[in-house]
Amino acid sequence: MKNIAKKQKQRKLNAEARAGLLFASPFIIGLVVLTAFPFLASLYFSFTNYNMKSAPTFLGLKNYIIMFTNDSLFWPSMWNTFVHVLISVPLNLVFSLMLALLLNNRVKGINIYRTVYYLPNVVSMVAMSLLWLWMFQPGFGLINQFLGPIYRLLGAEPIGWLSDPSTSKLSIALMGLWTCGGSMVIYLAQLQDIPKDLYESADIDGAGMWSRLFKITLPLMTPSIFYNVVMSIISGFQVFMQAFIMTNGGPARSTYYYGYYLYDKAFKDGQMGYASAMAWILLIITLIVTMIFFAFSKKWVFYMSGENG
Amino acid sequence: MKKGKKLRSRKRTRLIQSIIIHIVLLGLGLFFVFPLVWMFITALKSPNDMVNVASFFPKELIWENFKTALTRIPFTRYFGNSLFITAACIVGTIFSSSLAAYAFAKLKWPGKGPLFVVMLALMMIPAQVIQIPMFVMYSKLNLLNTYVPLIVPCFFGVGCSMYIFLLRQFFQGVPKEISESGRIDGAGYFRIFWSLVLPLAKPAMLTVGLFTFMFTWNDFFAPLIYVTDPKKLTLAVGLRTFQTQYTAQYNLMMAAALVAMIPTVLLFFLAQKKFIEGITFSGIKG
Repeated sequence: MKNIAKKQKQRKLNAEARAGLLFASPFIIGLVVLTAFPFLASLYFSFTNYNMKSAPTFLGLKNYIIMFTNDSLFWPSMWNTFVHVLISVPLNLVFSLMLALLLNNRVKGINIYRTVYYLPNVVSMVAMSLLWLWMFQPGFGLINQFLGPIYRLLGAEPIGWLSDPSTSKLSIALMGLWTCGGSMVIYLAQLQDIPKDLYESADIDGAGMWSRLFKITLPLMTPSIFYNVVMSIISGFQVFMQAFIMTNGGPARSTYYYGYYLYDKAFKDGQMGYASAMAWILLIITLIVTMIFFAFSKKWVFYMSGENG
Repeated sequence: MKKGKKLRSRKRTRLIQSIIIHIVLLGLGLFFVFPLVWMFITALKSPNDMVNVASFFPKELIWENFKTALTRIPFTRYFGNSLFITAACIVGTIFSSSLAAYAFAKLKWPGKGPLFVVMLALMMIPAQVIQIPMFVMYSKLNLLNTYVPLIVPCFFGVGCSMYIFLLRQFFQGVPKEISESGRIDGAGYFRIFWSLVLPLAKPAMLTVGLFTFMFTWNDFFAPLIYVTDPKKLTLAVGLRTFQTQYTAQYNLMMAAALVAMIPTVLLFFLAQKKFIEGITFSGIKG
C-alpha cells in the first residue's frame, strides 16, 4: 500500500520535473545557445587574433599584454570611463534621493510630479542625445541662453559644454540627471514602505528632522540605494551611445569611453579577438567593483526582517 | 489661549513649508519638462529663428518642418520596421518569460535553483561580452541585415531576466488551490498554466509587454550593429542617420525626434500607473 503511494508520488514528481523542464526549455535553450556558448566563445576569441575573414589564430595572452602595455587608447579610454562613473553615479544618487525625499513630504499632486519626473525615461537615448546636443550648443543652446545673464554678471566666458574637453564628460553626466526619475521612483516606493510608527516613536523621543533622516529614513533605504548604485555603476562602465551620437568621442577624445573604443575595435576595425579581450576586461572590472560592493553591503545595507530584498 | 496660538503658528509654518516644497518641486519639474517644450519650440522655428538668441519663441510657426523632416528620411518605412520588430519582440518576450517564470515559480524540476541564480547573475554581465560572438555567429549564418538577431533572442528569454523575475513573483502569489482544482479535473500542467493561471496574470503580462515595447522601440545598439541596409533601419537608427546627414539643422532634427517619441510617450501616459508599479516592483524586490 505504502509502496504504491510512494510510486504514485514519484511518478507525479517525474511528470512535474518533465513539465518544468519543458516550460523552461525556451529559456534554457537560449541560455545555452545564445548566452553560455557566446560567453565561452568570447573568452576563446580573447586569446586569438580574429578578423572574421580567416580562422582565429591563437595568441595566448598577447591581446591582454598589448592592451596594458602598448595601446595608446586603452588607458585614456579607461580613464574617461572611470571619470564618467565617478561623476555620474554620485550625482545621480544624490539627485534622485533628494527628489524622492522631497516628493515623500505628503504633498498634494505627488502622482503628477512623479509622472512628470519620470517622463524623460521613455525618451529614446537617440532622441535624448539629439535634444541635449542642441541644449548644450554653446552659442544658441538653451543652457547657455539661460546662463547668459550670469555669464554677463560675472564677466565670464560662456561654458563650452560638449565642445570643451574639460567639461564634455561633465556635460554627459549632467544629461544623465534628466533620467534620474527612474531611480527616484524606486526610492520613493521604498520610502512609502517605511512604517509610520517608527517616526512616531522618534517624535516621542524628540528626534529632529536631521536625526530622523539619518537614523531612520536613510538606513531603511539602503537596500534600494545599494541596488541602484550597483546597477548604475554597471551601466556607467558601459557608457557609449551618448558619446557616439553627441561627440563622436571628442573633443580631443575626452569622451572616448571604453565602450566606444570597444565598439570601434569590434565593429569598425573588425578585430574581434582584441575586442573580446577588451570585453573581458570590462567584465572583470564590473565583477570586481560589484563584489567589493557586495562585500561591504553587510556593513551598511539594512534589511528589515521579513523582507528578503 | 496660548495653546491656540501655538497651534495656529504651527499650522502656518506647515503651510509655508508646503508652499516652499511646491515651489521647489515645480522648479525641478521645469528641468524635466522644459527641454521637451524647447524641443517642440525648436521644431517649429525657421533656420534663422533658430540661431536668433533674441527670440525665444518662433516668429512664425513653420509646421512645414515636420513634413520636411519626415520626408528627408523614409520615415514611414522606419516607423513600420520599428513597429514590426517591437510587436514581434513583445510576443517573444511574453512567450518565453511567462513559461520560464511559471516553471521557476510553481514547478519542481532538477536544476531550478542554480538556473535561477544564473538568470539573475546575467543582469550583471556587460552586453559586449556576448555581443561580439553573437555578431560573428549571425554573420556566419548570413543573418546580418535581417531582423532575426533582433527578434529571435526574445523567444528564448535572452535579456529577459527582469521580466522572468517579475512574472515569477506574480505566479508565486497565485494560490495553490487553483492549480489543484485543475488537477482534480484531470488537467495537465500546460492546461492548468494556459487556462487557469495565465488569465490571472494578464496585468503582469501587460507590464512586461509595456517594458518590452519601451525597450525595443528605443533600442539603438543591436539594430545599429545588425542592420545596416538603409531600407531596413529602425526608427532609432534612422534618426541617427538623419543627424549625420543634416548636421546643425536642429529644427528638423527636433521635429523628427519628436515624432519618433510619440509612441512611447503616448503609451507611458496611457499606462503610467502600471509602468511605475512595475519599476518599483522589480527595483525593490530585485
